[in-house]
Amino acid sequence: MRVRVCVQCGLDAAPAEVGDGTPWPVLGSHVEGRRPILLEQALPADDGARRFLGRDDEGARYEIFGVVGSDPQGALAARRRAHESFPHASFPPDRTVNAGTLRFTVTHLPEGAERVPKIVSRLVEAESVDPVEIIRKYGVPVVRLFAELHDRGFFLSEQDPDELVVSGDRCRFLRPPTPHPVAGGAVAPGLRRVPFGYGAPELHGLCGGRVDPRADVFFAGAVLYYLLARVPPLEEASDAMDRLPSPTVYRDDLPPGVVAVVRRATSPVPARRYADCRALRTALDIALASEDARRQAARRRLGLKLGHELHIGVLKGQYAPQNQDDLFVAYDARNGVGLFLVSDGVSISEHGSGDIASECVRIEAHRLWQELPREDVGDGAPRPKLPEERDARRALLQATLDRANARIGEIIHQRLPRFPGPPEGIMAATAVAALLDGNRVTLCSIGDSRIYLIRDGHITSLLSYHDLCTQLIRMRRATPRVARAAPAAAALIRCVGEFEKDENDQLVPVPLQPEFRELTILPGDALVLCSDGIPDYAGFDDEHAESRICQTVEGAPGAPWAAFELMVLANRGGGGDNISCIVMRFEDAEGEA
Amino acid sequence: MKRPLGLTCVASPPLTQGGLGAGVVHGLVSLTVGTLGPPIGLELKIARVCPHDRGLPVLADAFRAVAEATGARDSVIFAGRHSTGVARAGPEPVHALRSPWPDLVGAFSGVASLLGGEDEGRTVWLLLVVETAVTEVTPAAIQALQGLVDLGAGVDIICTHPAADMGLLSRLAQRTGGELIQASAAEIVERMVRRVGLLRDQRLRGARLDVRTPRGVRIQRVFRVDPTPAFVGLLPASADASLLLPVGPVSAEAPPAWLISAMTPGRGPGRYRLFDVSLRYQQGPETLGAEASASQTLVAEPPRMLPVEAAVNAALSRVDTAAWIEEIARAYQGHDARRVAGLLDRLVRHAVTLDDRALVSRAFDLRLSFLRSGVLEPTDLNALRRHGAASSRAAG
Repeated sequence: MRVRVCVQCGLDAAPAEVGDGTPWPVLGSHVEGRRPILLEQALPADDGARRFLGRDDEGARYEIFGVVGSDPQGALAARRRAHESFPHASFPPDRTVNAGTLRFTVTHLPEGAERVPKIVSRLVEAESVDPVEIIRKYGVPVVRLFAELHDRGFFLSEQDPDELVVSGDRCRFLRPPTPHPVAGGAVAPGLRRVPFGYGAPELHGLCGGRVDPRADVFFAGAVLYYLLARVPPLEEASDAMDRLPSPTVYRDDLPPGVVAVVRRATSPVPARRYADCRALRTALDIALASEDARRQAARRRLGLKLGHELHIGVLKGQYAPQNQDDLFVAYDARNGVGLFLVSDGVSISEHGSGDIASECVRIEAHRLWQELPREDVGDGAPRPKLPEERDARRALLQATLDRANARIGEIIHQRLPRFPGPPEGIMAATAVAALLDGNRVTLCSIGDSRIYLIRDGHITSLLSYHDLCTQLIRMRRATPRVARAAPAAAALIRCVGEFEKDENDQLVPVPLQPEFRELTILPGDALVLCSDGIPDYAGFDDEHAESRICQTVEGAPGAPWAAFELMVLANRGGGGDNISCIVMRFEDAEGEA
Repeated sequence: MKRPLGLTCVASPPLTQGGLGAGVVHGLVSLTVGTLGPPIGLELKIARVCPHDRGLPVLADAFRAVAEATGARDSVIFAGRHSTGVARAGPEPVHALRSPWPDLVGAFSGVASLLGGEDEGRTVWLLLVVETAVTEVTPAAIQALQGLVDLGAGVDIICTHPAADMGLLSRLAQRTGGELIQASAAEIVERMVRRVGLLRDQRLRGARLDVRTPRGVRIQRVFRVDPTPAFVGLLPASADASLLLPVGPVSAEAPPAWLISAMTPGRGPGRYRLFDVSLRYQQGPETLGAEASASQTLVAEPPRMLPVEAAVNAALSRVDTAAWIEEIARAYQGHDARRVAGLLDRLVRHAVTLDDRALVSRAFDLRLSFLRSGVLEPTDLNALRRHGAASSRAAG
């Protein structure tokens, strides 16, 4: 190998650096080897060495490390010393060659397919993937890389995701970035280059504008978010006033623990994120371990502590005397079978009333419980038995909701044999239900009531809501920002109380389209079923409310206390809506470790 | 020697996607302070305006104390809402009477006038005191204030009444380059003495900014960012493309800065000028100035790494607190309870993003009390304004 500059720019002599007399190549020149490499960027190196990033005529990227002397081992050792200052941007070298008094080590840098944005765009187009495997393969290395940086007392803040390469179980930088010392404190606002879709709001100057390691937490969280949701980077990541929509809005059946970690890491408010990527790494490891445990758990009965509350809401009660929420709780502790349901009547209806609609749902839930097949084990008290098949359990819940729908139609027809107006004005209700069978639960939701899973200080909403905003985002009809600004964004588009009219003005119940999810419960999990009266009033915003719900449930001495505290929490926050909740805390059954 | 004042102007977003239709752009105009030179020498005259019917409960004592603390000369004027007359003047004539301030006495309870020492007693600054629950100011008073601005004078308004419309008074003061100082009766002397100290220490005079925008760019909102964040006002869409902003007192510790929001038209890729700002001021006999401008680049496809003027957005989030609060006041005056509740929710969220727990809790309490009673007391709004201003100052 020899160094000459530059056949492409027409010079016939090498414009070597002037200084100590060593003919170092300069930027813009070509280093010629198997194919000429254009030197594009100089990187920091020790005295007596030079380090460059370059590109060949096919666009492949290289790191070129040059030293004086012809000893190959000496050149590699010098390169290793240079890389020790920042080992996260180090790849195995391809070759070392002599060039007169200089020796160069040439390293071919990984190609585009391994870079983070390429991985994300590949996943967007993928048909079906296992989200846990994806997070392990690509997400964990990214988080570990930043955690190691924070371990060393540095943070980055303005990282280009295209400079991050995942290969094997490691993630590295294509070129050494410019780190800030953590001990130096936050970085004040100024002109910055922020990665689209990955930059925290404070990088844009929002949230006070001062940047610290939490900006890296957001970056790593955003990588995890796009890996889970499998959507292209979202402009809304830079919003300070609203969170990114939950990944569950885009994809079903995501691991709940990982979703909770991602949501906390991508909080727009820096103080609500993990303090640094070491904490994020720990939380992610725990969430993945829990997911493994869920997947491997055999069917068994768990101990269940149960609490529930129903309250009109102190403010709501001042102008609406009827509580339109309703709930149903049935549990047989002998075999761990239970049915739990919360229903929230829609208060604005021209025909009927929300409290009647939610009562219809509760009556049908009671009927389902009564009609479940019973198993007699010889103690004279038959136990309810649920079908083994997932689809059969779902069919039970579906039928219950459809019957409640039909019941609402019958009530309307008793008063109005020929229904005059549009069916949208008929009373309606939301419903969330859990059909428990040992440590397996079938969850079902229609409307905007909530089912939360709480574990290890994290909370996840398990099913998405059927309001217009969420559904616009889910169907990719609008970006989150546009969907939130849509007229009547909070309007329900699915609920119990959906009808069409036939030619005789008779109401025909529409088959409902609830959402379902299967979940394996672990000892230590808590499930909360509640109406929107709790998350809407439990905190300053939905993120704060969820965090307070989590703290309340985990901090209460028992499930009944937790349910009571949730009711008090919502009333303290205004109590502007009816409040209903069921809290289920699971533990090892007595006699089982 | 460095020039006394310099000027910077940056816009955000500095780069965005073209062809997307009209957009909003924010410009941060900041003064930089070099070597200011000797003080211009101001002399304070205090005129006590004594309402005929109510005497001088707190104000007389306050003015006397300020006069003693600052060595000011003291004059007493008896005035009422329907008549103005000098019953007894001090040893020197009250120069302030040459200004159109008789129109002000109907609205304000007391006036302290700072006279330019080099200019033979020309009024350069007024401190107006409001002791009543002012909720509107007569057009004549506004015109009188504008007259003072035209003469190169500024006005600070010191308000001691908790139920006065402090949003209105703040906007009035800001448009003259002054400040609204909210103080209880017990604090009034200290605040006035501090303010007089700052004003007397001024080295420059008549500083003002002229902000011009090219055709198609319309200025919509103006905020003062430093030294005290405040909402200067909304400008009508048909406003002239030029905006004149009196600068007011300048200190090296907290150089003044403004945030200007403007609507830009939809247009294709290219580089466009947004704001041309010129600064003019007097130092001694000399008239000095500085120029700056900001532009925006529109591109067909946004790059992977967006350049961001984070300082502009940080300033915007600081002054947004004032904007939210004034919007709430406006919605309440318009009897739009649903909007008030929604805005209070958003204000809480905004305070959360600033991690200002005290403001979060105050705004949340106000939201609760509004939900329960449907009433927003002016004193509550003023407390929120005070708190918002203090927290924004701290955030800066």
